[in-house]
Amino acid sequence: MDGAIAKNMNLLAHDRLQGFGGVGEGMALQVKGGRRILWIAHEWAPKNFTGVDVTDPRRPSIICQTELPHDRMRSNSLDCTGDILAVAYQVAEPGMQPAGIELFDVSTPESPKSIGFHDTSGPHSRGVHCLWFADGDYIHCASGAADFVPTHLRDDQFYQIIDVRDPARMKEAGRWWYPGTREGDDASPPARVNPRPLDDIRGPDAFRLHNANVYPERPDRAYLGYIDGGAVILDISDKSAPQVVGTWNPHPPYPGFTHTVMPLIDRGLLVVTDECVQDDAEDWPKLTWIIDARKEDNPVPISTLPLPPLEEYGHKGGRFGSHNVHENRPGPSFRSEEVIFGCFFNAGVRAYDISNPYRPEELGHFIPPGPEGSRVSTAQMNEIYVDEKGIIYSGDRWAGGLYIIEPTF
Amino acid sequence: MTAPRRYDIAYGIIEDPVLALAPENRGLPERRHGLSLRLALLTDASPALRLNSRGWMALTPDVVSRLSGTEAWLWHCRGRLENRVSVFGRPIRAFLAAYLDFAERSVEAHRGSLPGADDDADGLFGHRDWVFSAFLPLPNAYLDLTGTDDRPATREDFFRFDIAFWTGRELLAVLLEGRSMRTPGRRRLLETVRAERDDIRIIELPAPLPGDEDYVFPSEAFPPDFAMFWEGLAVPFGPYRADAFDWSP
Repeated sequence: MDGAIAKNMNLLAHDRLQGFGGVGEGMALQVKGGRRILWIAHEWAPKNFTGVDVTDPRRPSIICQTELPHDRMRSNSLDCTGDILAVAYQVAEPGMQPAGIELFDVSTPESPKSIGFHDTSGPHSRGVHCLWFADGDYIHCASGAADFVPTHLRDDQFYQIIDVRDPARMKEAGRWWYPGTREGDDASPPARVNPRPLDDIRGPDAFRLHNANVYPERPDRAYLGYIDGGAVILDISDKSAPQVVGTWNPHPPYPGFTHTVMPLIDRGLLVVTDECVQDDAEDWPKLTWIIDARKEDNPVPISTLPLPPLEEYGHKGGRFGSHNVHENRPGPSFRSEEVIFGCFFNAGVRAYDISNPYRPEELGHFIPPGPEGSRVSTAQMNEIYVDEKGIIYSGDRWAGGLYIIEPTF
Repeated sequence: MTAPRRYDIAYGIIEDPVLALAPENRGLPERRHGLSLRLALLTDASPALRLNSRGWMALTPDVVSRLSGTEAWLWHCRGRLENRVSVFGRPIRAFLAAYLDFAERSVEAHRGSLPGADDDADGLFGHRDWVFSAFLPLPNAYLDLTGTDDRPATREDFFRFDIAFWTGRELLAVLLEGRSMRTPGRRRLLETVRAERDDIRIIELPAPLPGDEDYVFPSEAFPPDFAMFWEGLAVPFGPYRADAFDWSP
């Protein structure tokens, strides 16, 4: 690809998703009868999700692309287990609808069929921002709720466990929120890390949940990225009453926005990302941390993933810093506790060897050129999924669409 | 006459096998082969590496003076092996602990027939001294696949096994299949090793699960003679021997 910067990675294919190349934070792979379908959530309206046949990763083809009900909402996040696709709906302002989770039967991938909707709308709720659906039974999500009044407008989304075993009758099985973020809490509201005006309810300056990850090897544990609340490990052996096991929060002095907490269970490590949310390195440094969590109640940071120089990337345009990592998802997914794949906005897709977690080493990277029609001049690699064959699927946040990459390491 | 097959192995907590095997870092006396704290330089003529092989532990006088009796030495061996594995290498640590338990059980199971051991108070050796004859596990073993000095090895020339054993007859290379898949490049390299190195017996095992207190060394996956590690040996002895008994390869 002309203009790409690559080391130990080759581009297999690029698809601009029929002109709707803003990829959100949801990618999931469905393997069905010899076919491989990549489901992609969109960052913005008007599109809801797109299904791409990647059976031949060199020749992706779109098999369906769906619409959102209106343009003041986004789907942003999705997940797929078996033939059930779960999609998160978040609205622009509290009180709007539809907000919550919709389930689709994608047994015929070309024709997703809605099979259930879980409503989390409410006067103070924007619905669901991010969800995790890996075991077929429960969705773990960041959502508002009709009965939840946050103490700060931006702290509206908290951890909810949704029982989806009967898709037509989904129900909440449990919840946890950061102490002090709900009206009526005994705890005081948490001190803001970087206070911002409330003219834009999105973005930083928030004690709300972003990602919640639960793995079959430890079904009794939920790993939460709670934005300015840092990393939280919950015991969810009783889903109705999650209990805090351990926390780690570098904010402040770091600039906030803990996004993902991914456990490396065999090794007793965590990979914790802080999302970059401002252009031109205004919120630098946004790091991906390696945490020694052998003692869950005393996580210790031991290193960060090395990034290219701030002098070179900080002012290339757009965001520069951490965001999503490939989350070792159960199913047709690459899983490793020694090789970590992440996307870093204008620093592209990068892979690291953390076999020595005290000194991560980069294995390779791929940075596409800035796509046409983007808001910024650089590619903004936003989401990443690596399949069990090691093929990397990554998406640009604004316009570039889907990039399919093969590592050579 | 064909040249002997070489096995240059860097093992333990190794960040860079190329650096570990660089001549200036070898820390071995002036000879081509040997066993050190982090290197095993072997040929197919090398004797088996065992817990009582000299070189893999630093046995300074103050260490030796603190260890009295078989049980103290066994405990010391366990500790030294554990220290060869990163604190984040829990599956390998669990495997090594189970392996030493297995070695002890094997000796107990054959106590009555072990040669040379005499548990009487006047005996020079006890039957448990045979545990030190168990094959030495080399954790985190980076094998240089080039097998030659013709060109400097690079990182890509090494394949890492979770544990390796040199039995004097063959190299047993253990891969613990846990939560880490191989990248496409590493998969291709393993396929190449399988195809081109029939002198290496690759043993793939499920990794011990975290917190599994019932994990038992899977001896059935190893050659039948692996458990009878004392065969061919006349007497048992511990890890500390004076120079007069130098047998190093």
